[in-house]
Amino acid sequence: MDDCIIRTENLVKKFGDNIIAVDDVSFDIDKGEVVGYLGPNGAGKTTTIKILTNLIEPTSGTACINGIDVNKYPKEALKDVGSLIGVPGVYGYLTPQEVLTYFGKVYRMSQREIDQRIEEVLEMVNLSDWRHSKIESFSTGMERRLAIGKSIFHEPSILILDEPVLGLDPEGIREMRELIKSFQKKEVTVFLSSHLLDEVSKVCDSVIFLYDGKVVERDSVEMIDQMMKQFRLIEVEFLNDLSEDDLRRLDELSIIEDIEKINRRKFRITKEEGDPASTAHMLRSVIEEGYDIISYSPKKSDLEDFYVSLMGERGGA
Amino acid sequence: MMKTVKEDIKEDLKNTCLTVSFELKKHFRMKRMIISFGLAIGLPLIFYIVPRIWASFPDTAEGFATLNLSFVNLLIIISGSLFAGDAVVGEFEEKTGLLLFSTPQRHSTIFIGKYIGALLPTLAVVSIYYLTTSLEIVGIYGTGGLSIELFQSFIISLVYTTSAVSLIFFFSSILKRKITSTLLGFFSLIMILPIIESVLQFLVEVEPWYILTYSAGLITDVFVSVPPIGGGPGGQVGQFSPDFYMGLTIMVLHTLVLFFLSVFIANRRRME
Amino acid sequence: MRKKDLYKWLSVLVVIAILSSPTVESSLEDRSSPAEQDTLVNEPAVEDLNITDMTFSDDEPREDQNVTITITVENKGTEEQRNLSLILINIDQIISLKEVSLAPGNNSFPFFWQAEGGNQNITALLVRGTPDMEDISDFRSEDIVDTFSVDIWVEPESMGDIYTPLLALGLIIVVLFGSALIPSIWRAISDRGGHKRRKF
Repeated sequence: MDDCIIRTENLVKKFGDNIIAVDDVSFDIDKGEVVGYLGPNGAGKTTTIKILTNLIEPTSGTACINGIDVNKYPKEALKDVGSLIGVPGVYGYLTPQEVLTYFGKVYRMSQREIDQRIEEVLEMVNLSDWRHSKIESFSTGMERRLAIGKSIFHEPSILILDEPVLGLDPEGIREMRELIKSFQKKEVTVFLSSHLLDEVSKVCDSVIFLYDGKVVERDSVEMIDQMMKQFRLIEVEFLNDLSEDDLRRLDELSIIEDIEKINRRKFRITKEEGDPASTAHMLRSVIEEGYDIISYSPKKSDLEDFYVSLMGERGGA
Repeated sequence: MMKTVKEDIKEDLKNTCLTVSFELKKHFRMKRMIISFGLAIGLPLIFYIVPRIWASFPDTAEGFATLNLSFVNLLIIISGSLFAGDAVVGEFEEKTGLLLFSTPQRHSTIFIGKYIGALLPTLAVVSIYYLTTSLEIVGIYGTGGLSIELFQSFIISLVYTTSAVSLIFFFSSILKRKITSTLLGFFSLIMILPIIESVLQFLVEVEPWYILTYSAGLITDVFVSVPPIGGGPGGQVGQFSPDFYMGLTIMVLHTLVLFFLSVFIANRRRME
Repeated sequence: MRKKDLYKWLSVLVVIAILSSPTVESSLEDRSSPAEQDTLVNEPAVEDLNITDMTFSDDEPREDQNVTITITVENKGTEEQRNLSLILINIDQIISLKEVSLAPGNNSFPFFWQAEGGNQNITALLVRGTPDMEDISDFRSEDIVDTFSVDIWVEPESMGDIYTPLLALGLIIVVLFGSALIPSIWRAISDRGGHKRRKF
């Protein structure tokens, strides 16, 4: 039996005749991995997650958890899954005690376990003082924390989180990050989507990039960092202002892939090749073209740059 | 890893019961039960207190029962709307379904539990109404005032309650907003269907045997020794009377067809 | 008076006598239109003939019970009266019609009626001749000799029974709670069948 905990195979979701939200998405997530799911708005991230949690059915393809088809056998597939999707409502007329008790029973926890766990979880999400207060009096952040608490209440071995830090303040974001790291240590499999690339890079082992419903890239965060370390991005400051003609001539150099203007003298240039030799070669080429350079700084790119450049290639934002 | 059928059934029943108790808690917290039970006790009391102080009671217990119970239909509609109006649609509109539907339960189990969770308190409200009326009859006419027809009327009311709740639950499963489904359920039973019934009876002069609210006339028609006093709230005596067995059949059919249709449609709705 | 005048007056008298005879009068009436009938002068009821009583074999009948209604008609005259009919009506429905002859004194006639539930108004009509009619709208008021009405309450049968509503309620409860089992059973059948499963 392989270690694959979450698997999608040729997953497709269409809305109507024209909208293909998820287009032939296939990926595996192994036990204990923390995987980020990234993409611009409308890429299909939330749709994929909704299929994985039986909130919607795929048009074709399968989504399996622990080898069990989620949509055919949701009771078996989801019994060990905690999820947080979008911005869920919480039952305003009830208290955290009542809501968590109900979900605890759904996950077949005993009353003793429920009582114990309520205390622990509310402590974790900083809602201990609000245990018996009606949820309708909560702020948005508090409701979000309660929803997070519900997702981890039954101590699942698999967590599927859609924008987990949405609505949280910086302190809350930090706490969420620590929480996910703690799950990593317990070998909980985490699959999360986020727009906060910085957060993803800090907690995830690997990242799947989704664009226009399709998986465009999957790599470990380590590999992506490594790629970024290959100095493709160089910040150059020229002695004089560059005219349009100057820029056009510069762009025509084969070693240069892209030029981004910071101001009339300062530019961020992406070179084609990633190795250090090409960095020196580009410097020579630019000087030989007659440009006077006063500053030449290769930049260590990060995940955000990678994401932007990847999306840029795809024509997205 | 896959369960046996017996284990599967046991789990489904347990999940249904969990949903029912969750729904009852919700109704209690939202003070719906207090409102409905208050009406169930207060409405019959009006028919006891007012005659005692200003007028006189009808000559017979059956006459008293007929007068009193002509408003049970209204109570069924109010309670049904309160408890069933937002049963399904509320989860989608409030997005609480994002928490609920991603749990290890069949969605159909959840919806069946919600239906039962709406039906049970409505049945309880009707029972309280009849209990209050019965106590009043005993107080005015003695235990001899309690007739088999009163019990008959009670059972018919319970059957009618299931069909009214099914109709309102059906609206809850197909519509997008709580307020729309609650109001549509309420006005269908209190106004729209009775109007159709009247048009068929008085203008077209055909018996509207298939209209649900027409069958509701059985609730007081079983008191055969008392002339009919109305076809429902604001209604007038029609030239037709519902046939006993046909009326019950219509109620049962409405209950079962609308129930299954509601669960089927709700099950196909997704948190998109 | 001249002979001519005498014959004239005699012929007038004869015509009047002929026109006054019942047979001629009724045949004339038969030939006349309904509108003309309404304008004919009503012949007054024969004062010697009166319906004096209407009794029921059961004064508190129940719905569908067979009841005997006895009508008593008094003939105060000295001669037997014939060519009469006794009609029993319930509100606007004819129950029964009998041709009768009335000997001097009291005459009783039984009628059989299957009681209908609720408030009933039973009317007995003594009329001339044997009206050929199918319903009460065929009556002509001038034919009526006498009437007698009684209101009676007939206890209706109970509507339906108690078992059918209990059965209906029981069926609903069983189906509603049983429906929670359907998905599991369906799945078991599908798994055994091995064909493409419909999601429930």
